[in-house]
Amino acid sequence: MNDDARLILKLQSGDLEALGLLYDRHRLPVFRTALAITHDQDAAEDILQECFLRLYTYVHRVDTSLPLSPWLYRITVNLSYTWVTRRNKWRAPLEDFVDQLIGPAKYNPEPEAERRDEIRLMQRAIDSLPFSQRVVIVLYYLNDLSLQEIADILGVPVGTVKSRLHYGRENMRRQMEGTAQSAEVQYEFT
Amino acid sequence: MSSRERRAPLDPFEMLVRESLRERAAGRLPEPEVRVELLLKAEREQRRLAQGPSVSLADLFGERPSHFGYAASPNHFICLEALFGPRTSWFSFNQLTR
Repeated sequence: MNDDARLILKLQSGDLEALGLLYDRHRLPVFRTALAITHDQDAAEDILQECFLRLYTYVHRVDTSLPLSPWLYRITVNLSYTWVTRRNKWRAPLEDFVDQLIGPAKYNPEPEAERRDEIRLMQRAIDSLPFSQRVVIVLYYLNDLSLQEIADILGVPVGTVKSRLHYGRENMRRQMEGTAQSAEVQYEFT
Repeated sequence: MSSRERRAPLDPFEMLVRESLRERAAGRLPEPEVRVELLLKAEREQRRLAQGPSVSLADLFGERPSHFGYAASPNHFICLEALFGPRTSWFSFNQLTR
């Protein structure tokens, strides 16, 4: 029996110290996943707390013979989805408007600064992905999970994960190329 | 849970995706209060579950014992007249005895 399973059994018998220890063991991947999906520190902290509160509430349903991480990732993704859809209702039009005002990033000729610009543009491209594609991109590239593991977490076939990954990459590539082109045009005119 | 060895090496674009995601998460940690608050909430939940439902809610749905033998509660009163009325009413009796 692994450490997680032992702590889960303790928690099932009402030992809250076990909850604290499970939190210490798993807080970083949960927090960073939520942060990568929501891009909001406060939201990521709320999701982290809610995730472990749910672990406490539903601890009797947790199967100790299975690893805990996929269970935590599933709850994290569900909570992030709720947060993103609620926020998008009122915030998306405002963000589009701000993007229009700011315009594409200016092209910076220095290599280090150029790399930083690329990263910033990529982060924007990730943020603009539909939720289903963004989650797969985060789980695959940030958390290093396999296609099968992601499929198990999301409850979808592996083929669906592959296709979301493919279209996610294509969308990001298109957005990066589009932004870079318009940035170069803008640079030429300034 | 890492399974990187089963994957093809990342191309430069994918490297950039990963770097961008890692850069955003780098050095960012949840505040210590999150843990403290979590344990407080869990403790509160534990106390609440141990106490059972609040006393003030006990009679909210009319859960007191009924005076009627065939009523589980005043809200679940079974009206025999409504169920068997057409057959046991005076009219039905009259039809049978005509």
